[in-house]
Amino acid sequence: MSNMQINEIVIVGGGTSGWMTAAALSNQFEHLLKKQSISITLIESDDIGTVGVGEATLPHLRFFNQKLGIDEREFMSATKATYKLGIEFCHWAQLGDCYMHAFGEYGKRHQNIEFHQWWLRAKDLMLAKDITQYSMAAIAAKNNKFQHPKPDQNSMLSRFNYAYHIDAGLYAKFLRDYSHQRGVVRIEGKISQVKQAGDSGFIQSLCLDSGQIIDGDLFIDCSGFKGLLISESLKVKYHDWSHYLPCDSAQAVPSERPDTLITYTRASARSAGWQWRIPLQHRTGNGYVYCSSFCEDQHAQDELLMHLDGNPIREPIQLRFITGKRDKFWDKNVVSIGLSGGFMEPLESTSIYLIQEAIGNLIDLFPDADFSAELQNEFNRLMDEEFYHIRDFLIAHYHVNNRDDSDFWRYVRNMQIPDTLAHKLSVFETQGHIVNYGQGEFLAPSWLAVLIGQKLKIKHYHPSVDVLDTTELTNMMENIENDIYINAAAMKNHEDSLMSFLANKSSKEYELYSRLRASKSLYGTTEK
Amino acid sequence: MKKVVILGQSSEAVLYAIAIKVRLSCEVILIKDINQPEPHRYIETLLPDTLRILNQLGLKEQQWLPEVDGVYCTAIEVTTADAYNVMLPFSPIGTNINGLDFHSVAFNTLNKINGKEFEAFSLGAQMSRKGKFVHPVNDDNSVLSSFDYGVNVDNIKFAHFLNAYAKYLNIEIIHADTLSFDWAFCENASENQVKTLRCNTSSKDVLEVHNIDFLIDSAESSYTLRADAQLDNIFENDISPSIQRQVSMSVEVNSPRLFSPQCLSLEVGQLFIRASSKTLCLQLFLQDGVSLIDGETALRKFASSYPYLPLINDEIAKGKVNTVISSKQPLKSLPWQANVIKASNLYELCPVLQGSIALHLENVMSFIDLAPNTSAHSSLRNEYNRQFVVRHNEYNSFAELVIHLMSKKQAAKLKSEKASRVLKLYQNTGRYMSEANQVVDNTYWLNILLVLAGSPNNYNKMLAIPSETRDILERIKNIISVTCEQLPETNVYMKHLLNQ
Ligand SMILES: Cc1cc2nc3c(=O)[nH]c(=O)nc-3n(C[C@H](O)[C@H](O)[C@H](O)COP(=O)(O)OP(=O)(O)OC[C@H]3O[C@@H](n4cnc5c(N)ncnc54)[C@H](O)[C@@H]3O)c2cc1C
Repeated sequence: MSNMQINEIVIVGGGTSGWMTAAALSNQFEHLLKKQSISITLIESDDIGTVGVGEATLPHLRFFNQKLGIDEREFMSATKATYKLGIEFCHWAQLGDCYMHAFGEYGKRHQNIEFHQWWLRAKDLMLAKDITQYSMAAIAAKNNKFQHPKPDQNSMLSRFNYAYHIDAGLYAKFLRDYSHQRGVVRIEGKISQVKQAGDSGFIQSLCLDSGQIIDGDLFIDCSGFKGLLISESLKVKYHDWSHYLPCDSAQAVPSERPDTLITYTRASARSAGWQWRIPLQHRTGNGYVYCSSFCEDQHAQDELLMHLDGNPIREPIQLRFITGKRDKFWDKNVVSIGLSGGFMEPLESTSIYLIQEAIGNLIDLFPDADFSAELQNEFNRLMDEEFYHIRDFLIAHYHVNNRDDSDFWRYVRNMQIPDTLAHKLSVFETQGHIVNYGQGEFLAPSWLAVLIGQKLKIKHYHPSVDVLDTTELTNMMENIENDIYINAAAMKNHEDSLMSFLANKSSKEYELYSRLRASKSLYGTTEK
Repeated sequence: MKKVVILGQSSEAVLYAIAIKVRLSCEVILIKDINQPEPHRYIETLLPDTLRILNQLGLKEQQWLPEVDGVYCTAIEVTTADAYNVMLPFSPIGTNINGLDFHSVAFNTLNKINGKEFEAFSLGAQMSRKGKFVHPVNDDNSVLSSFDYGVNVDNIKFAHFLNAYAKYLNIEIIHADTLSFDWAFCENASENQVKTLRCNTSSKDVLEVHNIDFLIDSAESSYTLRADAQLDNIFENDISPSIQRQVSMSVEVNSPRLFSPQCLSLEVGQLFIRASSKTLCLQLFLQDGVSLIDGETALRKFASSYPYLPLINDEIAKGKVNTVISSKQPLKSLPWQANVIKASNLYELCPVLQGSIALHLENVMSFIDLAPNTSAHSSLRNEYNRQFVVRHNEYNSFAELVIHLMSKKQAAKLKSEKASRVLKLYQNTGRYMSEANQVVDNTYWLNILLVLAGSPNNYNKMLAIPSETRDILERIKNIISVTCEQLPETNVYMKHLLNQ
């Protein structure tokens, strides 16, 4: 039996991924750090800086924080966070159109049949409204309301989930303090050389500009797009997915916050991509993600600035990327987490989620110094699955559109899509059935929101929903709609709810909810 | 879908009929051959998930239990080729401690814990060992919520019960021999589909069933000709040859002592011993290369030498035991073509999990999920077939892993990518990564590794194991053992239940 425990963990990079990794490992191995039987060192370079974006999250982040024992109030104050109930997509299906992908389920299952099947039939009979009316999260979001979900499974208030908008720089700083308190050593400096073992190719040490040498057993590459270790040293291939996800550029600019603090991210489609708007307590984050083959940088910048709803606070920054993923996320003694492992564009705020998944998998599959191949293979398999599933979901947003006003939208509508997605779309079109994944995100409510929102026509409903007569069906739709309406009306407005929470006025729901076990499944509200 | 015709009398056929009637409320006609021989008797274990699905279809345990000689069980007793005997419970072993997997905690605290020792941390396993039973309670704080149960049933009686239930649901049941089908071009779907069925009823009249929307063909010999459907090698890791031939014997006994289903690895194959409240049944699934005759000889020899089976020996001596030899064909084509599903249970997929009814029900429920509301249903069909292949492969993988671990031929290479990956990961790291939407539940995958794969070569030693863990583990063991002692014997509990 191997007794070669990993002693020195080195994290390269102090962006969101670096500090999330440091925090999670220092929490997991706090007992060993205390005994000084392991060390965790994080190297970051002030000269290089971080990517400086990444502010919208998925509900999973709450569970990451919970696992680390981070208090929600403290976290929200420190990161100037607001609550996020979903994403509003404007102009995606067609110009002038808007829909909400909210974090929660639609209606309620009835007779063991999913709500949307009842809705499809009711819609056919003109007995139902837009599906948004049957989502607690969407209605709360549209009305700028917020309260913590309730644990009581019978209540509509248990049928939604929430995430945050955060200032990513502040989050990294917050986690830096957290990690520091648990014994993580931070080194500021630029890595100029990487030393590999001649025979195995394993990384042995890193050399900084200052001449300092840092040895390590396990290296976690959080160095951003460049992949300092995984790509530049180990030469692990990158799978380029720009034929599916063609956006390759972004410009980002913060602006002054407007009077009203909305509870959702807005993603507005533009001529060659889309623009985000992320509300924080102190400012709004904005950015335009576009495809440079269809749009000049200057044009993109003009389009972005034209659509701000507050004055810009500084000059826009320009970013370039190639959508795709590493062939292996873990190779030899290097695990890539964050942008170094891959990037699929920020449309559904999935990068931080993927960081979190990678950290969770690394902890579950934490190696000894013999770096068993099975652990690496399993880690890579799990991460691959996550990437493929999210990739298909993102492509669907672009591909299923009816816009005819720009070359970009025509291109993405007609581009070749992966077979897995083509199958999923055709099953959904036939009868509203959502092909389930064996593993990972996104779950059925998200696909429903987006495919219905993008106006994919569903030809038939499931035959089982013919059992109710029209009166029963009407009652069912009305009851759910009313239930949601009444609950939403009773909620506080977002800003009031946030401010009173931060002012330490305890929210009974929050106290109850925070005691519940974390849910792993995205918008489902219960633990599997 | 308005009219569905189902051919055949297998339990799968009847389950299709019931599920379609209950969930889709369409007209269902079940056509049974006039002169079908009674299927051979065996005892089947309905696993916890199967019970839940039956419940959803309105088949409540209380109703059918007395009719099918049902007996509760909470684990399967497994004996490997080198006579290692251990219980495979239906529910997770142990419980998470401080958010850590139980087995990781156990490895770290108890070092080389083996399969047998894991048993002490499972109330389900202990109940099975001691022949005890009560229904679990719905309270997370009670140890009595920590196990799950299945039921051993007599397959023929269960089929009779399903038939009676089908009649009660007003499903039309016709005894007739199928003569021919008319296929017609369906514009909407741009393909030929079955529209009319002709058959000879017992009174020799020719009966025609028109306007068929969907046909489920579960007859022993497939009537529907689907020449274009012969796709070879659709299954990644088909291990069917090793489990498609079987020899079985069953005998009525007054009070069988064996409540736990047993699975033993013999030279010639895998042997299952199961008992309902009236019948004891031995089923031997033959390994590749073993002839049916050799299988029968081996089974008889086993029965006469197995110390727990004195009853069956008497019956053999009296010549009362029938052996049934059957050989099934491997599956070659995708089951759903045009508007026809070929549903007959061609062979047992995963005997250790008693695959047949569980698998039938999964096929049925997958069809219910995808039941078409249109004749142009090619994408739903693709999805059903995709799920079918996934399910098939997963059962195969699991079965292969179990047989591999039981036969103790460690050097043999596993054909299934999944079985091999899961086993290697476990052996080298002590880990099993749960997957969502598993066909074979994560619990079974992990439990089989824990009880049969031996201590891993390595495991994560960097976990923060609380110092008092050893005491906690001792306490869990004690609670389980004391609780189990206090539970009633299964037969006493059942007698009481049935008298109520
Ligand atoms: C336009 C855009 C919008 C996005 N929006 C979202 C969003 O809304 N939600 C979301 O979840 N994600 C979003 N993302 C992704 C998100 O920004 C990243 O996943 C996240 O910031 C993590 O980045 P990182 O830590 O991997 O890399 P970086 O932030 O780039 O950090 C890299 C670190 O490595 C260090 N480093 C690099 N080279 C060296 C060297 N030689 N020596 C020493 N140190 C070095 C740097 O100093 C830095 O600390 C977005 C990404 C883009 C491009």
